[in-house]
Amino acid sequence: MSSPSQPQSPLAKVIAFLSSYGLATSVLLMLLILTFLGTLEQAEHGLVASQARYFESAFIDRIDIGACWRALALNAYKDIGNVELPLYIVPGGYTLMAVLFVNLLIGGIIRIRKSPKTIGVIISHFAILFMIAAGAVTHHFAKEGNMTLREGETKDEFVSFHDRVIEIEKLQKDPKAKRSVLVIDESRFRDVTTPGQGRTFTHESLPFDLVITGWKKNARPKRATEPGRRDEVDGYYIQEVSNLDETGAAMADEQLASACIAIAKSKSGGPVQNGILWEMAAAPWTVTAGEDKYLISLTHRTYKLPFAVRLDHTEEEKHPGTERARRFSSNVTKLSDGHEEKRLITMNEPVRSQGYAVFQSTFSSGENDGSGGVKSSGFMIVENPADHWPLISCIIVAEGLLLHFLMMLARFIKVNPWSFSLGLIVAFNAAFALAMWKLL
Amino acid sequence: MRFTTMTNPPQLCALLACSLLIASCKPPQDVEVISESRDISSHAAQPHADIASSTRFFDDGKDEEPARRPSFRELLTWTIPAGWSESATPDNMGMRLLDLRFGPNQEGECYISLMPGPAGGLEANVNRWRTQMGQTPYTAEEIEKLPKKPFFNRDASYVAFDGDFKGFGATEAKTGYRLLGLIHSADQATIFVKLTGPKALVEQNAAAFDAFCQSIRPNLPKQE
Repeated sequence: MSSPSQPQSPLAKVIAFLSSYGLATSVLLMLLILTFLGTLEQAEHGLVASQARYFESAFIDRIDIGACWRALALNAYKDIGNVELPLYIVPGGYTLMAVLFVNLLIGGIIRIRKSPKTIGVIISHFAILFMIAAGAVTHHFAKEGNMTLREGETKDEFVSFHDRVIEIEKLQKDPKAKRSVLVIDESRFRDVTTPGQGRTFTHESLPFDLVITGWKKNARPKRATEPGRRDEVDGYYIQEVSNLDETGAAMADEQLASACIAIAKSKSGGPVQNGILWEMAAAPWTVTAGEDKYLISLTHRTYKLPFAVRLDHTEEEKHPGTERARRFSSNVTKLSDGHEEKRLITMNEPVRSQGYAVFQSTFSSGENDGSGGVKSSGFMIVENPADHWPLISCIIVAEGLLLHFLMMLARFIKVNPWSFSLGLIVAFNAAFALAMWKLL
Repeated sequence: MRFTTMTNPPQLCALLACSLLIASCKPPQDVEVISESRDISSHAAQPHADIASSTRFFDDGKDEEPARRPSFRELLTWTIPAGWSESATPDNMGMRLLDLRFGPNQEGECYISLMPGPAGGLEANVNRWRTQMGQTPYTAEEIEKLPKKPFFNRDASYVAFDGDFKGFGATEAKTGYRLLGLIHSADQATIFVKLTGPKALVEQNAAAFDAFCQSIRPNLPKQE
């Protein structure tokens, strides 16, 4: 450490800034404000959109003051309408957490005075770093989605709740041939919202280039009854639909159905083909190129499971004398490398295997959904490498703070800090483990 | 040549921080090469090609019924007093839920209107009516002292004043008129009941006006 009389180098100044209490306080204050604003905006924009804008973004592009105003019920006094505050350099949750990580790493682990007095604090700081890392791992690597199975059906894929893609599949003449699709992530085309604005996607295996334009977050194709509509495609146009339900609340992201116009431009000078892609469409749009056909769909991203699941039997248990579901349960067979394993999945008792957790989330008796009375189960599937990291980090934070305060207490009552603290921590942990063992 | 190495952990952390901060996503280009693909499971359903748009979009070919506009008139029920009748011609502004006429020459009129929210507030509305009757506006204190009558299980402000009535859009005022009015204002909506006519006719129908106001009720859905 440099003495106070020596001038600090620019790098030392940067490090001092990055590890300062002032930076930590500012970041925590900004996170508090973001949490407040994100929670307010969630009422009109929905959970996923608010999370993306405030907590997962590097920078916040704007604040919807009008939505926040209405969420606070201030429109009862004065209606300010739709007011937005555009922003350009305000850091989002992702940036703030990264800064907090660096701040804590430098200030709370590396530069902190190492002594028996600070060991508990260092352990707690380490655990908080671990928790931030868990958030980053979850953000980047966790997969979460849904798989619906009818009785007797087998699947080894599940679809994301929130991630959308365009998939292009060349129709195979041999039905047993291996199938594959080209995938375009929604992030590559969701900005082409205005008419005339489009983006071209190309691939060497495709005989055409695909232009995507007129993307809408929540829409439905509508039959064009007035002649001469410029946005008409095959007798339909895309009508944007409100993201709010009848009560004025934001609909859940998975309830929204995006749509866009796709234009297939032949690379060999053939005719241009236009189609509407819609998330809820009953079938893909077909592009014909010579004798080949290509199926193009806007859909939720599909993930592959390392094993297949067959639904053998599903059952719904109701509360006695009511129509309220008490419990859904499914008898499934897990198929992996030629092995079959019978498992039972219920709402609160998932099947965990190879890093995936499979929860039962919905049940259908098949009586009203056109499936001819065949029962089906909806499973929520989660793959999160950092699944238990927050719990582990909370335990470590608690242990670190316990050690810190017990050592302070030991010094105050003038007993050996180590034997006093560690003895009590061992006793606390043993009591906790005993209680958990009895409870579970 | 002299090489310097960064062995100081804080320096490494600072470098890491800068790297994190300057890391950015690749912005979309006008032409992009598709770089992602996936294999389709052998358990996946076989696809269908050349499906018509009407099938893809669940369009059964029937014309959609136009969205039914909510009728505020259906929100209320009332009993029309004997001798009163509904106007055969709609009002010019389309603001009246119910437009009644009474009197030998149908010169008396009474209507209900409903506006969303406070609709400008009680003071503005009462004074609008005062102005129509050629009267000076009430002060805030006078507005506060207006008599109340029960309406919709709450108190509504009741007004009654004489004057020369010049309704909205009229070119000439009708002399010797009387206006009775009831305004119930809430955050969600404001409901007005207004009666105007020659003074003698209005006085004859004042009791009927009260009975009519009392008969106005929310049109609650019937319990099955």
